[in-house]
Amino acid sequence: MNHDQVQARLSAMLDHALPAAEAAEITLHLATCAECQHAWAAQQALQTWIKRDAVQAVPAGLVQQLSQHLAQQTAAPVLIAAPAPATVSEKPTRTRPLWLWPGFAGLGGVLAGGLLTLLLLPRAPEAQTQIAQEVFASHIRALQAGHLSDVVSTDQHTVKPWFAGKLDFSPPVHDLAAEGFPLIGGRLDYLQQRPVAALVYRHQLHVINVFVWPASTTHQPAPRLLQQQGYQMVAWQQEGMNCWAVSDLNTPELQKFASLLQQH
Amino acid sequence: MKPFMPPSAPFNAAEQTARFEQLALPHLHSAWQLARWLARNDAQAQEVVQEAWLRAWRYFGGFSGTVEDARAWLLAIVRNAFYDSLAAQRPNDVLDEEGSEAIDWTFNPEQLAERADAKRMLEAALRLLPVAYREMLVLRELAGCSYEEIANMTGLPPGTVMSRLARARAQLAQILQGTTR
Repeated sequence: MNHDQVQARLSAMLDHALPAAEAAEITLHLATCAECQHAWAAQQALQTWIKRDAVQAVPAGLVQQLSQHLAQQTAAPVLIAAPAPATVSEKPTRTRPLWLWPGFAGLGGVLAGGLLTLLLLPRAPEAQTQIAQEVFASHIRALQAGHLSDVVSTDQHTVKPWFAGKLDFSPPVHDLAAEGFPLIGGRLDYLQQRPVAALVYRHQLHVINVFVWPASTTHQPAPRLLQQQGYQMVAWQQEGMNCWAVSDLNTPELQKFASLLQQH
Repeated sequence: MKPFMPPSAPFNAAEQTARFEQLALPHLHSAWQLARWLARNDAQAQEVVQEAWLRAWRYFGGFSGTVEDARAWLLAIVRNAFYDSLAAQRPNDVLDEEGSEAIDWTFNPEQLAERADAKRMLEAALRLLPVAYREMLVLRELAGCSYEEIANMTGLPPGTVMSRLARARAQLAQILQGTTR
């Protein structure tokens, strides 16, 4: 091993990543070469320095912050923002979720989250929570089983007729490819003791499931936003249908998606 | 789509979260170092760690290793969370991976390290390194990862990890030398 080869291996030597034979050879060379000796000492000094001074303590409060964030995300579905933008012209990014409520975060935990929801939003119907659980579970099952679509098509004119004869209603199907949410297919699903249409959209690598079934009332509640275990859900009514979108997309983007669908 | 197994029943969530934290918290220090040196500032680093924490929790059901294994697992998630975030906006750092690693090591970092402003000086020099080199140093020196672990989490061949580390150190030395002249 010549001088240059030794120099090139000093870094690996520092990391104890050289085969024993090579390390021995380098040690031998170091004993006779002042220049390499110096380089070796400098490398060691630099390593010591980095280990000492490039370290920063974990910021105070970060542990607690992570833990609270997780608790919020993993609690039973929580209504995090009541009226999402009803008019579509509004920029959805402005609606920062209300889940950073002080106090709410402080209590954390499944029970606290659930209790608070009841206390603060006494009118949030229990039925919503139950649907949210079903929607969430359905989304996860579809992802786990790799069973997203029975009809795979990016063409709304293929997907919509596919449901005819399989359902007693015709779900609104719109392609939002131009807006960055391409339709990738549809399938039958089962929610609330009835068959429902599930439309599958994609945004980058995120999958969005939209569950659609006829609304029993004509009363149109404001769109709702819910969270469970890191997944976001938006519920609204359009064209006489209940619509539930669920995804691991972030909240503003999922809201944007819901707004776009309602626009059609 | 990355495979994952979300924790099953919601009523299990609290217990699951406790198990997750037992596994992940011991590595928060390493995760923080990595996030901090990848991101531009502390606020961004906090966002990266928070996103990584959530992802890790989501993938947790599919993780079967020990607390020790969890370090590389978690660091890989931190790394991905950073590169997926807007904060990354992969800078077009040009890596000179061809040229010689031999540089003038006649200066003495030991003396520099004793200066009163040593910490600031080192941080400034590290910030000047291309992020691809900086993360090698952080993973190795601060998170204590082996070449093999770094290769696995970055998808680089171990030989490249070795040479990047050598170049990272050489470039850092060069920058330090330059600032003291």
